[in-house]
Amino acid sequence: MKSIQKKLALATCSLLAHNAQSVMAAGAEDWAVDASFLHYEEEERITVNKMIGTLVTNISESDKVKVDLVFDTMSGSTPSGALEGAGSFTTITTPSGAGGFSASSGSTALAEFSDTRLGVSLDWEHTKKRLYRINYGSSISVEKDYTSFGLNTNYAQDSSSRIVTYTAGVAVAFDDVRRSTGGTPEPFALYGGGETLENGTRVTLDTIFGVTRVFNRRTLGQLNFSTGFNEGYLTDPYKLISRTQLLDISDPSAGFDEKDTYYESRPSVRQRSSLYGSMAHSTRNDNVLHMSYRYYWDDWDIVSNTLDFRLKIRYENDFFIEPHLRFYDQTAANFYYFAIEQEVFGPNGFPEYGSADYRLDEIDGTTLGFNIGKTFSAHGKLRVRVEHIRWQYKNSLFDVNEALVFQLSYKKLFE
Amino acid sequence: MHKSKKYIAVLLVLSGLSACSTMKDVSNTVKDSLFNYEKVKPWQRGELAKEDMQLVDDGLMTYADDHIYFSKEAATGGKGVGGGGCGCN
Repeated sequence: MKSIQKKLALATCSLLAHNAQSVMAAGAEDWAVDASFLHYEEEERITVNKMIGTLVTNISESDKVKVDLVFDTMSGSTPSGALEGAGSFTTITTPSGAGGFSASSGSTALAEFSDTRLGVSLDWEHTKKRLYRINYGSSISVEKDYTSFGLNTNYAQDSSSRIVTYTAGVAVAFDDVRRSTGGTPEPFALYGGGETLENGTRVTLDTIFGVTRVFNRRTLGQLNFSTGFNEGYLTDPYKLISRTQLLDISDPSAGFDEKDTYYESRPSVRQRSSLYGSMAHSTRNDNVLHMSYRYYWDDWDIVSNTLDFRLKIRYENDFFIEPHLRFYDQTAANFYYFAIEQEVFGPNGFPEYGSADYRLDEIDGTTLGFNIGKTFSAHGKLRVRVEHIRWQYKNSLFDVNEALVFQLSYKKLFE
Repeated sequence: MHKSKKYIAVLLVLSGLSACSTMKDVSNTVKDSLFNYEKVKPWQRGELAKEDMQLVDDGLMTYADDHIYFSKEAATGGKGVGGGGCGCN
């Protein structure tokens, strides 16, 4: 009987709208611990090692608490936005050992950096009258050049038949942005010149409204509408943009000279929205299909499509293999430029805003990978996944970025 | 906008392929196909109760992916709200 009750509780939990980090629907167990190590490596670029730990526990029949810990180490080089060809140009300088970006003598376009990040979040979920759940969450994330503090709350209500669950959530975050040496550069100041301004601050407000529905005894679907905005310092204090002059104005294919390099400048407001649909379907032979699609748009004129497909093929002895395929595309931001062209803006002119950050370029991305897992006992589960990600950029100096992801995770339940 | 239509088309094709995987039991395929609606009673939710059937079935994998793509792409969000930001490069 207890087993049936647990399954019914799990079925109820499966109707919840989940946060990205949520493992709170892990079950009716008293404790659930999930730990993971992730290695992310780009070809000749950034390497990240990430350790994640999550603890979920019931503190009463109607209250559940979750604690997340994240520790990242990041190092390598990343495109600065500047172009090559400026001789001994030194990208960005920081004091020795201070982390953040450092001098990369001889390299104009790649800036080396190293940093660490520590993140902690705490969530409390309360169930009321079996049909209502409310979740309160808080998070803090600290890097040498970035601090973020966030609060969120999510509400879920089941229909009386528990076929449909309605969800609503709101989150606010307060971020402090700075270079590792402190402060932020003056927008469009000549690199190495201009004033150092105070740290940048930004506020982020996000809301989400969703419906989750049981379609049949093997299919569950969800539709979310999200909207929100960022306001404040949205510029990247490390990114640069070059000014170019054509070598031969009558023949653009002859190339250009890099004249100067400046700090980038972005708008101080960004309004974002998305529609997200996802579903889980268990096939007759007990494999599980997960599919999702997101349509995203914002007032920087970025429009994006994301399609994600996973098929968990389950074998005997609690073993599974899960191929994963993801497609992504986005349009460029309306202030993205490969460079500030002297022929367009004049020798001393600037656009209203300008960034050469490759992440604001037109992008096509593809992820291909697989995840394998095995449950060793009723309470232990090991997963290993390997994925390859390839991003293609339309106008950026570095037109391709490829990354390899390896993640090892183990989950343990305690009763 | 044309890309959106392309993605939706791919989604439908993949849905069809997944439906094919259920063809071993043709008689139940229609009944339990992806978009077929059925009023499911509480005692019929055994399959839905499994951890693999949760919309986020591996929280740590999802968390890691969200961080990777947040760092490298301009579009974010959709699944939920909350969590810490980062000054990612």
